[in-house]
Amino acid sequence: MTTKGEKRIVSEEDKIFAKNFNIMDHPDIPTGLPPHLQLQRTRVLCKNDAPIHTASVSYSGAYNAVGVDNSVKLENFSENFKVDVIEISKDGMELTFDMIGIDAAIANAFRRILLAELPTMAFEKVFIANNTSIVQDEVLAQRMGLVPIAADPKLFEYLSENDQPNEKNTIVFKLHAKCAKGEGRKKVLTEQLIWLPNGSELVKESGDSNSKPKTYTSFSRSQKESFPEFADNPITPSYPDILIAKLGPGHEIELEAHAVKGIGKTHAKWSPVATAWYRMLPEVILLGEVEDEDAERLVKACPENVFDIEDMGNGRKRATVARPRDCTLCRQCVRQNYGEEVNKGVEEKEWIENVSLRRVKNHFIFKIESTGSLPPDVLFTEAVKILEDKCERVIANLS
Amino acid sequence: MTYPRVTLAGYSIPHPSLECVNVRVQTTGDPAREVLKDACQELMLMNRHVRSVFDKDVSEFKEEQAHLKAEEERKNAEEEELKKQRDLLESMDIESN
Repeated sequence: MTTKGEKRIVSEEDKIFAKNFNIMDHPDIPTGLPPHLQLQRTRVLCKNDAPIHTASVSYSGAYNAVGVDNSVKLENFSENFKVDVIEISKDGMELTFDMIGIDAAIANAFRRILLAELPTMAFEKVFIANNTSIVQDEVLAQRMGLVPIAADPKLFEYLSENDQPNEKNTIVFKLHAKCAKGEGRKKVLTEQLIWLPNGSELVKESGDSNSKPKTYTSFSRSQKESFPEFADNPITPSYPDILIAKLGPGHEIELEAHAVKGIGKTHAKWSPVATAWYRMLPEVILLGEVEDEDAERLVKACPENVFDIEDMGNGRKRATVARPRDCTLCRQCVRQNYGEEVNKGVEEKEWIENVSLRRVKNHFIFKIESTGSLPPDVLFTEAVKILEDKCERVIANLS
Repeated sequence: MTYPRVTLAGYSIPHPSLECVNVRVQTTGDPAREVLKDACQELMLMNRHVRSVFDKDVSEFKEEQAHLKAEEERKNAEEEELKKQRDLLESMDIESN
């Protein structure tokens, strides 16, 4: 200790040391966010009445006071981003995968694009030549519109109002179903839809009887030639057993349906997914020890078998979290008395405090169910491409 | 908002029937247009990265599945062979008895 008045000789080494000294480098000082702030930033806490900390902390300078940078840089994103495919169903039409390290806004954008902005082919115009069934014309047409068609929409072009329907923008199907008198009721299924690669067969009535009869489409070539993919595999609806109508004896349906390209925004029939949804990864934490009898009741209370019993030795048991991923947030494990009936005379417990239900904010479990036009992984890739195109358009317009 | 040069970013849609979005960007000194363009550019690059990672993972998964399937089929074929042999032995035993 130097007293006042005494001169202290400061060496060069001391000066360099003082210049480079940063208190944050000291090994005992904790870096990063304090744990309670880290919890707020990365987890949604699902409390008994409502979830809290649901909004993501977006401001880049939010944690400047603590010295932590909250901005999203491309390098950090590229390093931390991961995709894990969990399951593809047998017929290849359902895909479950995990996306880790992405913001909720972008995950939601992908979901919305999958539902509304990916193009598909669906029936738009239905020409009904004969319909003596009990299903009305317009109801029949509406049902035809909802039938999913297994054709890659990328091969086709959009049909605008001024265009003629031709082999590049229309797919034509025919349906002719009859139920003879004396037969029982007949079902009209989608397998009875026949593809017409040469275009429409219905003739437009024109006063000129000398010229060639015009049909409702102007196909210059057979679609079997223009699209080599369809030369050997004819275009069919995605599923052959969808019921369109039922016919009683003596009823007949004869119609031609034209399918065009469109997006889900205009009408839901053009949505390529049956549905697409995501949920955040659940995290179940036991804040304190749950032993013996309580452990048994906890394990029994959960309908998804998230908890397991572990032997501690001495005949005592403890509850552990075995499968947090299966948690559906039913909150049975935190309910009064674990949701069991309360017998009169037994002490009523308060809300159970030692189980904490949480969701990880940047880990999404996506599930995409395709209707059959394209496999779900291709659909997701297309959705990402569409978001990229939108960014490009904004940049182009800003310049 | 997670962009370090941005102090305020927001959007509003004046009426749902009109296709119009009002975007407001406030920056720490750089021209707002450039910052918006840079942000869109980064978003595009992020999307490309997402796509590449996703494609890689799906193809890896499909390969794994194909491997597993091939192994299963091999095992099934082996089991069937064993069964056939056992049946043959049994029928031989019956004959000798």
